[in-house]
Amino acid sequence: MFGRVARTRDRFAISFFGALAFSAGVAIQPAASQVPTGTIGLVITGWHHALHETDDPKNECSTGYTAGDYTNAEAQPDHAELRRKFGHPYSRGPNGELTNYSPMAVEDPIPPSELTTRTGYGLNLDGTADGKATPRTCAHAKFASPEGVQVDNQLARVVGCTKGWRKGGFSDAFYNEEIYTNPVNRILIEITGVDDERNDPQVEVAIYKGEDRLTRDPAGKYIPFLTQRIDARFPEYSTKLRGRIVDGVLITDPDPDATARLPIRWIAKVAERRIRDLQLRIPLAGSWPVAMLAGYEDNKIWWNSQKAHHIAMPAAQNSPPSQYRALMRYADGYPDPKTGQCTAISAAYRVETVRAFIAHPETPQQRTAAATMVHARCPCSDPAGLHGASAIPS
Amino acid sequence: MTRTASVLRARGARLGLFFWLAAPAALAAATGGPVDPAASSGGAPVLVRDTEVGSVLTDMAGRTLYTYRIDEATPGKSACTGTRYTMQNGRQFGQVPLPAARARKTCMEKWPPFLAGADARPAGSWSLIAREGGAKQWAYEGKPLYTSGKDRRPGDVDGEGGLPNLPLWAAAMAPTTLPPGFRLVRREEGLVLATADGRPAYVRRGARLRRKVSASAELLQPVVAPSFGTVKGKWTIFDAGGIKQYAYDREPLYVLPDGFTDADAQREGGWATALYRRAAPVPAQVGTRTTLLGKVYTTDTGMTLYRFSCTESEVPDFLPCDDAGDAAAYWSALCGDAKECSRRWRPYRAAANARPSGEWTIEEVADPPFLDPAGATAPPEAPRVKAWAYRGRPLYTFVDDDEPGQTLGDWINYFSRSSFDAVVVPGPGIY
Repeated sequence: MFGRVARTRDRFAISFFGALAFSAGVAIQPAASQVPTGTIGLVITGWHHALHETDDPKNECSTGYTAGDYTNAEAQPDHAELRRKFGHPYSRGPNGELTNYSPMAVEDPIPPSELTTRTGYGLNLDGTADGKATPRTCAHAKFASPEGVQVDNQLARVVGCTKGWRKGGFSDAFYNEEIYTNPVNRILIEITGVDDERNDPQVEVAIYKGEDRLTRDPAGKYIPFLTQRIDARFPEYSTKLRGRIVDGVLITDPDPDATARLPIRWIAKVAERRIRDLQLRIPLAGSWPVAMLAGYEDNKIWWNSQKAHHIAMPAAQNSPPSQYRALMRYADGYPDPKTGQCTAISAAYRVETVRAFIAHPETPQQRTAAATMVHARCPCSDPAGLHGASAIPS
Repeated sequence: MTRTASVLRARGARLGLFFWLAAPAALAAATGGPVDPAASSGGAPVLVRDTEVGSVLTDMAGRTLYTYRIDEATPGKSACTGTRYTMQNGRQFGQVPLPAARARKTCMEKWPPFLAGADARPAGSWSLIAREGGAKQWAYEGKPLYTSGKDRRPGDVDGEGGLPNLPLWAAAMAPTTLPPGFRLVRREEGLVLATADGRPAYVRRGARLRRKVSASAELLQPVVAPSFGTVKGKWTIFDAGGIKQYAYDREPLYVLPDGFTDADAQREGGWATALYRRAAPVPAQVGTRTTLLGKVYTTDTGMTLYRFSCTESEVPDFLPCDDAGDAAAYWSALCGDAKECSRRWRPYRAAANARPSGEWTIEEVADPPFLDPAGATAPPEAPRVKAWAYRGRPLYTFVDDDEPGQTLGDWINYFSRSSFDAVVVPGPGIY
């Protein structure tokens, strides 16, 4: 029933709000009958590492792009022997290990290119100005944002010189296409208690996993104001935040004790992200240039989402031994009480969103009411027993 | 698993029909009764056996017969030969030696051809092809038939498989008595009736034909039957108020319209898939859990179960490489040396009182899976444990999964060759 009603809403949304949006060329507040007053729905349509980059990687990286796995394999002295013995062209470990699953089995013979720029995007997650160690962070170097704010984004040091994750790179492009093509990647943001879209001192924010596809117009732009249903099968991918709206930008409050779980599917690998202290900066009506999602990514869970992409390595130019070591070296959040090794890494993502109607799972009462409505209007309903068995062999 | 069978005689095939013999003779064959292959001279000595994947053709010993996709490129000939390959001819990486090539079996050793006697004659859908060396091999509907080294017991259908999105070996399915436009699909609950495009048929719970069917069936649409169609057995066609509708086992059949998914039927409530044959019970030690991969099988504590599979995709015969005795390099590429592989992938041990059920068996599994990464898997001197297997493949848990429902071990992949994957419950998936 929920599906039928939701699709009815889809059609209504496309035909009415979609047409209005196109004709007006502006975001449109949904009618009160469709969405509760004071609610803003968003669906994520793009997700990129927040990197401060220019067209020439040598401007930000010590030696330009990092050498990829295959380039490093061919530079290993035992490359031919490993190939002969284990039958894989790019087995690199002493037991024929592929480095994405055993990154510590071997070191890259070609030193990785290191991010040298001191300019970066992110949020000040640890609250310090200098990145000194705190009870929940490890000492680290901060970036200065273009506006001069000290920010944390250590994950940029791990991926910032990898060609695939930079602008237009294979990994970035592939993931963003999969946001479009696969509902596993459907992430919904619902802001409630909104009295004023430009300035509101207190709003509630919920993040959900959605289950519907995205729709693009013929020009390739995502169509706003379509229905996106919450995927009720996965309550574990729901997060509640508190925040405010300042000059049209949603700003959520840090919650160091909360871990947000977000789904991800990238190059056929279904995984998830676990982000502690998740914070959002999302422009709603102002001129803020980018929407940002930041927090501390769990090292192990992040690596899991990356490690299975051996096929992508030539195009991604990604070398797991260096990348994994960089992950551990630059991790700056939530130190293990026994070892002191930080178990999470500060990360910042530039996200893109469009407005959406977020449909909640129906209660039994709503389902009954919806069923009554459908029966009243649907010409295929069957009070006369069309689908009944009128000539029934017993 | 219910295991009944009937003799399929090629004499019937001469008439363009298969004779589904009456129960006594059929059961005699199924239970090892006197079936003289000589009586089938001029036809293939085969049986039909009901399995978890449907009715399959077997040889007279009950071994499931398979077809080989690669044979489609060589009509009238078998591409599964005794050639012993030693090199991979990769499209991307050129010539690379095969690991442990000296121990590698040939296709014919892994997939013994279903040979015919010297006096065998083609009939109906059954034909004969000549193998190298002069032997004759049975083919069904033009496809040469083989048995599989993966099958250990009569009724096993463990040989099915191949590459992701490219099944290479498929069980040879017996013709069914389904009305035109129907097929069977495998789901968690068992074999389910489906339309030709794979949409499952549904029944309204409790809506037997002798009562009025609920009028609230407007989302699910009747499966419309032809006006003058005839059916038999458990099938009926009834007048549903101006249209003819199929029913199976006295339950009217419905389908979801295009664009709707299984989840929509679940939300509607009151609907169940039209079950053709219920699956054997899952062992008590096995559970299920819904994850982003879909519903997966788990241990009794909810930890995801995985299996290892392998196909040599860069060799002309595309041999499976996940059998005992195959190259250990396909494992070590994914998990390191013997000790580390054993640490990461733990066989799911069967309880002392555990009993096999349907596709769930208990196998002796080498742990560690190999001793020499440059050698072969499961050497005789490797310790063994009794572990659960699903469709013949041992099941493992993954060391990095810390909590129920995690699937960190899924798609650990030696691209186009070996892979650890979560065992997904048969069914429609989550989208």
